[in-house]
Amino acid sequence: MVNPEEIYARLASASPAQIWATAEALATTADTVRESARSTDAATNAAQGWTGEAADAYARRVDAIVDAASLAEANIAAAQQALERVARTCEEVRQRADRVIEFWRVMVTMTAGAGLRELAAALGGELRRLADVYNDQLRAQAVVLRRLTPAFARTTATVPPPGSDPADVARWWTSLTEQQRNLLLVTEFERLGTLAGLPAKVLDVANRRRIDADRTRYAGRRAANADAAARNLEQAVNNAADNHLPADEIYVLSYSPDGPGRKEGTLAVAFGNPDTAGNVAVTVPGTGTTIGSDFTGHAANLRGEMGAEGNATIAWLGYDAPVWDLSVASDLGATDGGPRLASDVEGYRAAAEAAGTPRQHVTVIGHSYGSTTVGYAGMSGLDADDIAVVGSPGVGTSDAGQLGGATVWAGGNEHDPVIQATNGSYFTEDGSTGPYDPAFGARQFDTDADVGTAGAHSAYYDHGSDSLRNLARIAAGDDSAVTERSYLEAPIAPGGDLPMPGASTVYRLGYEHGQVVGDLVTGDLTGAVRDAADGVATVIGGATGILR
Amino acid sequence: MPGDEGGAVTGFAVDPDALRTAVAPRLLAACDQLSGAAGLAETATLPATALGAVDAAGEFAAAVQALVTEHGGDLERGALWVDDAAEAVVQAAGTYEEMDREAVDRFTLIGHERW
Repeated sequence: MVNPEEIYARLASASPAQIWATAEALATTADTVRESARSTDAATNAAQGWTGEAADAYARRVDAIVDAASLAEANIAAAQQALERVARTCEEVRQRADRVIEFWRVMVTMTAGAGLRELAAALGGELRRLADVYNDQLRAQAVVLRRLTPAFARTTATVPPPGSDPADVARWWTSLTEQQRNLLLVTEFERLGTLAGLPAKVLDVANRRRIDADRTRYAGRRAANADAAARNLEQAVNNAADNHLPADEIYVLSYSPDGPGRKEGTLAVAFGNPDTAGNVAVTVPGTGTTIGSDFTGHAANLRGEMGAEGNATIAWLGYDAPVWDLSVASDLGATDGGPRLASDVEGYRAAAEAAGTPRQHVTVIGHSYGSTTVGYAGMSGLDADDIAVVGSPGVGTSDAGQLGGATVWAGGNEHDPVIQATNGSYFTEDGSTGPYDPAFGARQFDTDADVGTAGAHSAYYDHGSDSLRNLARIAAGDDSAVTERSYLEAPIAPGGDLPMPGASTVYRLGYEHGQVVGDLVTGDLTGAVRDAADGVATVIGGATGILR
Repeated sequence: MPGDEGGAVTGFAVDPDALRTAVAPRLLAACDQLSGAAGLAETATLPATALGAVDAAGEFAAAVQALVTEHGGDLERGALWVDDAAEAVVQAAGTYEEMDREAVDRFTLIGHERW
């Protein structure tokens, strides 16, 4: 037999008071939004005496705010009304259900047998019909709520997800109104800063805001990385000044308080607008570089040497550069960083294309371990016209032809201890041929033969150096002006895969024997390069000494 | 002229102090109100049990929850937008004043050089 009490209990458990309370909270919300629109209007009135282009821009912004706030108020009010309809229906259904169940409770004491069953069925049916009315109202008002579009977000537009194709991102940005762009920079700078393909000026605003925000909202590692990025940007201004470059042409193209690997953060800083420059050069630093290192000097010096007009350079630390420990002997940072570099360069090209700049001449330069990263980028679709490596321990391949079709240039100081220790082929897959070997197929350019061991590995971007002059010529596409290196100044012995005494062979031998490699990497290469920097020893001497 | 693609500015009038003391505070009040509205919206929750043990209770309660979350976040976004406008007004006031000071300095310097 149908039990009307059960059906009634399901209806009676509703709390119209709670529904009304929720509606009331929304009403208060709508009132507060209305007050904010009034305050904004008052601000407009207070600015009546302000005229000019800035005042006009301000007025447009305020109008948009008032429009959005009005829509937000209307949305919340509509939601409030939906709640009120539900509450009213709930109360009406409850009143009718109360009458039905009261009738049932009276009749159940007076009726029995088939008559009772018929009555139960009839009253149960009536209660179910009431429940259906209520369910229909709930479903109808749920539809109303779901159709309410957030007001400010509607003005904002939807940001493409991370990892979107840079060309798609560039097209999306172009499709937005000025108002939408401005609003996005205020409300969605977190997501904008991580998108490849946006204009440099947009990325700069977004990433500087991200850095500022990270410095205050995080503690520990992330805050430290954000602080380091901020300091680095201050140093970038100094580096620009050292090269007579304007400080307002520095753009933060990317930043992360995390980054891959050891989570030491990433940062890419441009000198000059890469969206409009005819020549763009990307400098990739090597071992020991962190977000706290002054690594933008290379790019600043390069643009200074190239000349600011029509040229932009980018200091790119978008990978986990190894530190001077066992990680320097691993190509992990380079194999992971190479595709990241290729992707970012794709983003630079997409932004330039969207800006209407004819196809640019792009050069990617890797120093030290950075050259290994550039090599893996070349094997991962890097769209560069020229690739240059300096102080390279190897680029992952023994053939310049595998680096994506770019013209490949190799520069090595005669006394560079890293080249001598690695023969320029340590990070070559088969261990045979590095970029300083004629069989590799790179064009050897002149660097600075007279730099001693102490500074030879770190002198490639020095002001006044042959190396910097030639890198600038390569980056400017002035190939014919690049001076060739004399064979007498080669950093490795003639004969290609014949190493300098001890160096590469010893290093590789050590790598294959755990204990020895530990000595070599931490006690030999590390120590030797550091010693070399102090003008005390050479890697080769250190290496052979360790093995004795 | 405003809207002129050539970008030539033909003139402007401004009281930087009014921007700082009359305009910006009203915008900041609007920002606080929007932020407060966002907080209020997020308190407007409704458990499904308050709607009774009927079939559509869960659907409606979920719609309410989605609304307050989404629109509450939207109002926060609006508050940020207004805050940015207030900040820009204060910055503009400073820029106007700085421009004026620099002009004074230049004229003062010219006087020294001549005399």
